[in-house]
Amino acid sequence: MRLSEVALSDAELVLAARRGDVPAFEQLYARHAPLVRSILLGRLAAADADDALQEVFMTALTKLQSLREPAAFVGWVARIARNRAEDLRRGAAETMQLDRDYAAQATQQESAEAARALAAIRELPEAYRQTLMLRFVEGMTGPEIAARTGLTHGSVRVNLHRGMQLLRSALDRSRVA
Amino acid sequence: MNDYLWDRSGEADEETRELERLLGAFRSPLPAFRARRPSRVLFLLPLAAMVLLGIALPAFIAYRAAGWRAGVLAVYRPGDVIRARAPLRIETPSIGVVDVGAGTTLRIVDKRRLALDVGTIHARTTSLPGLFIVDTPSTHATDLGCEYVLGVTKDGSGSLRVTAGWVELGDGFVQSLVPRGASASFDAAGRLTPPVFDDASPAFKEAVRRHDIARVAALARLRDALTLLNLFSRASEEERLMIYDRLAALVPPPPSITRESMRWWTPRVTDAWWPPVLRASGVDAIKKKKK
Repeated sequence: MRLSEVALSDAELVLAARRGDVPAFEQLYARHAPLVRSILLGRLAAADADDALQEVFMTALTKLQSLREPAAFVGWVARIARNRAEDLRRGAAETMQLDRDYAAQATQQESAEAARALAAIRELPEAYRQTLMLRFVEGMTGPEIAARTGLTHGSVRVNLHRGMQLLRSALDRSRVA
Repeated sequence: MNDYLWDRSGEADEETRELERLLGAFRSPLPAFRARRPSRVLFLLPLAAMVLLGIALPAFIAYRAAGWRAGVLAVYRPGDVIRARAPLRIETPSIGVVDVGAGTTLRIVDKRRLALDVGTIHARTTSLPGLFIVDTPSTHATDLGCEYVLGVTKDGSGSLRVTAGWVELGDGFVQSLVPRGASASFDAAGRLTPPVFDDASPAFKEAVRRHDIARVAALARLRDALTLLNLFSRASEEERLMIYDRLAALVPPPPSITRESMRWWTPRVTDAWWPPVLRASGVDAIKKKKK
């Protein structure tokens, strides 16, 4: 049995991946990809976020030897994602249109509303943006968000509560506009 | 705080539910991560590792991630033309796998779009519906979450056979939405047949091919209701009435769709007929299109 086939911590998986255990790295990917995708989606058009997700983890794999503290993998890969997103960032208007296309469903109105809601979340401060992305896009509960991000339950509760207040205000303003 | 927002317990307010529904559209199945094992050389030759990890490998990975791959090294970029002498597999993480038949000429338009000039491809996609498009000389096929075989002959005509999900062939006013288990064909001018189930009778298929509406109506089974529904866009007023009568006998229309309304038919007129027809034809609902 490979080391990575039992439940291991991030640090143990990183050390195994450094020794060439590719499934260990795939386990890190499965564990943290939703968080990384929510970071990317907070900055990029939805379709581009999907592509960038693979690039971020390939970069992490090739630079894994340079990670000084294996337990800090999630923060490290999140930083790679933020940097990659900044490199790829497009103009806001184009991003909005791409999101509308990406979310196009039964009606044009719905896809426009989905894109508008996503755009409003992107305007929120980082902590709220991240938490609301994980809650509404990735479908995680508060306790799951806390487990993935390393934040306390209290912090996640605050981020959800204040983030929702700000989001409501932003959506009200955009409706009026 | 509202407990529903925290852990989905308790009553949800309407706005939270609405945000879940709207933003859930951006959630997609996690694509598989295809890691390539780092070379042992990296551990043995620090200098080579520095060069490889620091410059060459990241550049190659970025280059590779942006294109269609074949095997370990080959990467096809927009504008490249593949002339396959033997069967070949190309893939890209955001779309899926495309098997290219021998004798096929395929152009890379971009990382989500190919152009099939002649030959055959077998596509199996993992991307969201609506992202992957294949152009042919006379029409184009938009993946709606599926697996299909698309063939084009030298004169630009061709056929599509869907084995999973749906494919949208053509676009705009005349299109064929082809579900699993059905096929459609197109001629060099881009004229499309409606989807016809592969298990339909040869006589029915021939009647569709010849656009013999009277015979199509006479031979249609319940499962062929989908073919009939797709024929409205291709029919004259008189033919639409014939199609209506047969389709209504097989799958009663919603009250809003009257026989008289067939005289000024537009795609919206029969929109409400789609759900019962899909159920009658035994196919899954069309997946959400997310370009």
